[in-house]
Amino acid sequence: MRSAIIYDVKRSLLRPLVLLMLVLFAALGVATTYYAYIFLAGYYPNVEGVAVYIKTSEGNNTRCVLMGGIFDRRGDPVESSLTLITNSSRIYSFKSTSTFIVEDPSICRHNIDMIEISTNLVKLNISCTTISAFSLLLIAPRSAGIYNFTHIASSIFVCGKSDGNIYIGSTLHVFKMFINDLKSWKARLYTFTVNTSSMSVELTKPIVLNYTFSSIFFSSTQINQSQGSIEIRHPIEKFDLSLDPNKDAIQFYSEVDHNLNVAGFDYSYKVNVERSYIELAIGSIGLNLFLEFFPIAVIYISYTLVAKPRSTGALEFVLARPMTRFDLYLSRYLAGAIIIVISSVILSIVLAIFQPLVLRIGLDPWGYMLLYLGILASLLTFHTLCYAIASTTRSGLYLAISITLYILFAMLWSLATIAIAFMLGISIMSTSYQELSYKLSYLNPLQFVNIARYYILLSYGAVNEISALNSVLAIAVPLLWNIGLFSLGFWRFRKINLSS
Amino acid sequence: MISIDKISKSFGRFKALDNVSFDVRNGEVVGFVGPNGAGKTTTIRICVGVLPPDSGDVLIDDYSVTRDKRNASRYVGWVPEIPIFEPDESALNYFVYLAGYYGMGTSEARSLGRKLLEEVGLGDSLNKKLKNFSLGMKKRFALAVSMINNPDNFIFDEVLNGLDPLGVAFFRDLVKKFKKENRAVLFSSHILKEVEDLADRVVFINRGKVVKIMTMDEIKASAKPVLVIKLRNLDSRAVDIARGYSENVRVEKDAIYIYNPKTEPADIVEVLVRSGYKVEETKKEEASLEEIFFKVIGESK
Ligand SMILES: Nc1ncnc2c1ncn2[C@@H]1O[C@H](COP(=O)(O)OP(=O)(O)OP(=O)(O)O)[C@@H](O)[C@H]1O
Ligand SMILES: [Mg+2]
Repeated sequence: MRSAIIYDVKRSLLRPLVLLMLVLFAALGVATTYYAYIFLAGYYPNVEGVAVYIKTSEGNNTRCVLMGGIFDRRGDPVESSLTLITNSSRIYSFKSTSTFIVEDPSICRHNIDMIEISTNLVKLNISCTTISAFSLLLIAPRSAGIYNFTHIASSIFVCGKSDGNIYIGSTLHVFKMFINDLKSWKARLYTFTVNTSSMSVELTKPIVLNYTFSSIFFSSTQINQSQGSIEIRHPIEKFDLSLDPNKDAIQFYSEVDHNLNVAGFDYSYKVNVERSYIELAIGSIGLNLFLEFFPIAVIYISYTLVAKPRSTGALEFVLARPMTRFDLYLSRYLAGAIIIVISSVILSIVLAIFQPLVLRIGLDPWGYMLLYLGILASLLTFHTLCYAIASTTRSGLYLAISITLYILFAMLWSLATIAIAFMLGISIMSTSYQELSYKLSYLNPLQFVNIARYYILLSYGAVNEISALNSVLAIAVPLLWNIGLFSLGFWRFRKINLSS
Repeated sequence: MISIDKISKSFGRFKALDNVSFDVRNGEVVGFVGPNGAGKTTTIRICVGVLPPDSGDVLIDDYSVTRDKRNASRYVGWVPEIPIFEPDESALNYFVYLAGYYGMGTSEARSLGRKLLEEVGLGDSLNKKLKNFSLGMKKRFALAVSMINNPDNFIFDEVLNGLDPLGVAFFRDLVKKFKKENRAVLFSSHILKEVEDLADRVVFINRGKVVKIMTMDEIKASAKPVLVIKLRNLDSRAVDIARGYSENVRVEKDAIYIYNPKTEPADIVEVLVRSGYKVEETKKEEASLEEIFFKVIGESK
């Protein structure tokens, strides 16, 4: 029996149509996710570079330091090669595996306009702008009665998009923050510190900064209640912070004179960008295409496994083997189900490997698990539906019914939802429309995956809770569909005449 | 041993089988004879468990086909009237697939498949697709499959239909061999002659009912001779004369058929000639099996 099921799986899986669909959708899934990502990355880059460049000239003597880092979306350093550009000519190149501090006379000759960054995945340019330029005329006695005038010019440039900066006494701190884990609201903060009195990256003493969260950007009302602090000892420091999900902004201020200088920035924007990446991950076009068109393969699988052999009468000869009708019904059902499990696993694995690798963001394992279960629930239920029809009707009728259902479920469903909303007088823009479409998802096997998506988004805080959905129903409804259809199919199959 | 116990089956309102019962004992070949549409195939499909009866049961070596089909199917081989397989499969692969249901591993099934397909004469077609098989090849393939478990019971449904003389001889020899090996064979046909030298007993079926069960010896014994006398001036007096010699006299065209005459044909001819009839032709015929067939079936009407 087992070897017969394996054979059924093998011969159905190895049909050109099924194989073609699998390869096609895996490839399409990768390609379209990639292009959607390129599109999204044009707006919200997935690799960011930030650098601070200081330049001091004292007479003929010039000193320069460049420090910074290239990071992925989660704030992990990315290996990259950097080229400094001045007046469109490349003046200096180096490789960086982590954060970097470069001190080299050759980067001093001109001001740096731009840094060209190239990683395995992307190439990007970040431009540098000065945030502070000042000249000092130091008058120092050389010998008695004779004064020597020395001209010192200094400037500080910030390259790339920083999240603001703060002066504490004679130190300048430039911030760069990343959302490290959207689900747990973990953020990664980098600080780049410059000593403006010595114009170097050496710190004379540790600097302690407190931080607080606020809903209203830059409000200073709650600044007294520190919610944490960071101690900066090195020119480049990395901190892991827990953000407050109920607030929008973070503000840093010094322990000592906190009312003087406050640096703050909004992180809700970053969170929203991360959410669009999550939506990209769970609703990638490739995945949607798979869900839209793989049901055709599902229809075909039941056709070859049961509808056709039943119509021609070939099932009868198989049934004459040592097995009951139930065994026959179950074994071919399982063969189809296994094909679908394998196909969905292949697709999910392709996505789960490809997305974190290329997008530098992916779901957590639980998210992928849930997404996979959703895909499986949709396709398996559709399989059970097709199988039940296939084993009880003639092959021509089966194709007619299953294709009609497919068109309804996969193509006309949103129209049907709109029509029902219209009849109930629900506006399409309202939340009750959203509720309605989720409720209707229970009636359409191919929509089950949307319920799983909803729970993934919910766990990332990317959607509001919808009262029409609850986890008991989300599990019970697909189960009932499958058990009901399977039993109904067998109830008819039990007595059916299998001769042609 | 196949025991058919009071099976009935209706298709819609049409009663295809009505309380059919008979046995096929080990070492016995039973011919299952009836006209088209009598219910032979229906009975056989119930016997092999692919059609559930409305009532009654069939025991294959004491395993009920309705309650213990897994075991029952293990011990009966079936060659259908028109074997139908999944067309895109090649012979050996499909054999291996079906053998899987007998719990046979792939490599074991492959070697058994080669052996049995060779045995039934399909050695050259192991990798040919089943859709390209001729009817005779399909029957041979079904036979090979029916022998997977080397069962003690075989059911052949009109197995000689559409076979060339070599194929006919092959199956006949096979049935004789099975009989020698003490297996039970049920062999359906709508031609009594076909089972004449094979069957030990014949079950006659018509309109879904078993109308008669006879041993081959009984059938042969009832095959009585006929005297056919052709007269130029046939009239009712001549027929009356003939009736003096037999209980069963029939007239057809210008000939008198005298069934199982009480005396020698020469005596009857002599009496007729003396009575002034011109005898054109006489011949003595053995009653054909078909006449017995028609007689038995006719009686059931
Ligand atoms: N699936 C079915 N649906 C309706 N009627 C059927 C079905 N199968 C068989 N019958 C009817 O049952 C009767 C018996 O058919 P069956 O095939 O058993 O006859 P048979 O004795 O095998 O005839 P033949 O010698 O032509 O093969 C026929 O009248 C047939 O029309
Ligand atoms: Mg028949």
